[in-house]
Amino acid sequence: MAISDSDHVMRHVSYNRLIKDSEGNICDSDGKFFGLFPQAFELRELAEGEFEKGLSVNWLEFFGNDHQANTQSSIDVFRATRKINRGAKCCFAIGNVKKIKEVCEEAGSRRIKILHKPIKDNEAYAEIRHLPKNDQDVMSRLASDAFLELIANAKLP
Amino acid sequence: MGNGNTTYIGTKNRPIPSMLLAPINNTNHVTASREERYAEGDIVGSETSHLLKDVNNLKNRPTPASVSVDGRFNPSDTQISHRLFDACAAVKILTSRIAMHLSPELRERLFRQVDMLHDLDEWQAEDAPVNRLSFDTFLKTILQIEMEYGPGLGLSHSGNLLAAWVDGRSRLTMEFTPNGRVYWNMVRYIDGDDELPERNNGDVKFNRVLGSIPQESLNYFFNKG
Repeated sequence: MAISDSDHVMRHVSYNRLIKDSEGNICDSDGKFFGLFPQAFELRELAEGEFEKGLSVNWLEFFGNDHQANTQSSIDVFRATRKINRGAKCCFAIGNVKKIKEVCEEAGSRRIKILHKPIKDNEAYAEIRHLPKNDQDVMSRLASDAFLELIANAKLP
Repeated sequence: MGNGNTTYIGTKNRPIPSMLLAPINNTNHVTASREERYAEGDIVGSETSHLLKDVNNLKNRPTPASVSVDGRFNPSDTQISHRLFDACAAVKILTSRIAMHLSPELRERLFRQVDMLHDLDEWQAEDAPVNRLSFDTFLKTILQIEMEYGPGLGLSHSGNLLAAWVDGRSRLTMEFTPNGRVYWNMVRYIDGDDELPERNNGDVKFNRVLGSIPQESLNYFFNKG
């Protein structure tokens, strides 16, 4: 099922895909993230020449509460399914569905779809499909213009 | 972003040390013969040789079963911590080969970041540790760049080293591939954060990175004081 343009999706971004300063800090002195490497939106190669079909995300509005509660619920699911410690230095990036489509279109990718694909351990699971395979421009725009709300895992209960 | 102290990593047009241009095996493990050559001071100075001996003594010798043919990480391997340690040690030894071209401060920063990227507490099981050939491409690239500050480092799913230079929302990022290619991507807000940014990206050989990025942007990201 296609997710509505007004809704939001969340992607887990590991520490290694967070932009750092030369000291290895992921936030500036004001606690603001430096951002995400474009490779945070890379389709993984599963086998030689075979890539993931879509980017894994969680559909926030699936949880049916306000934005803050939905965010916490989604993070709880990520923590459980991906065995993420509460103190881990990863982050969760949130993007609006319409904005994600727009930035992909700006990079010439008009076919993308964001589909709800519930799985056994994660009923909010969704995928961003039909992305061009590891297109640097698309990945960069997703990182800098679409997934703008970044939440530090370690700062949440 | 700056503290006024200038640390130059490399000098433009400086010849790349021949030891970096020599072919190396695509493996995250250092062969015994090479270690022996290091230890005997054949390649590096005596002080570095002692350090390498200490590193070697800390390492567990890889078992034949743990070494894949192409050097890529096998996620099913249960000895993840050993794999991560081996990958870190391999790139540090690689860096020590050109230690004379890096300031001690920069080398320390790079090593500290490499360790942080391989922190077992943060590690995602499906990720690969840093690929030694990717790190080799990184070293060849930064030796050509005159810059005040070293980059922040990252790692792709497949173990390619990532580097970033940032200023506010503006950023220059690079991915260093094992075959000597560099994917670079630049987002630069010229007229403030509310304006549309300039965007550029490239896929070039390591020795074409400087030639492919606009000079003004090179000055902006590498020499910002």
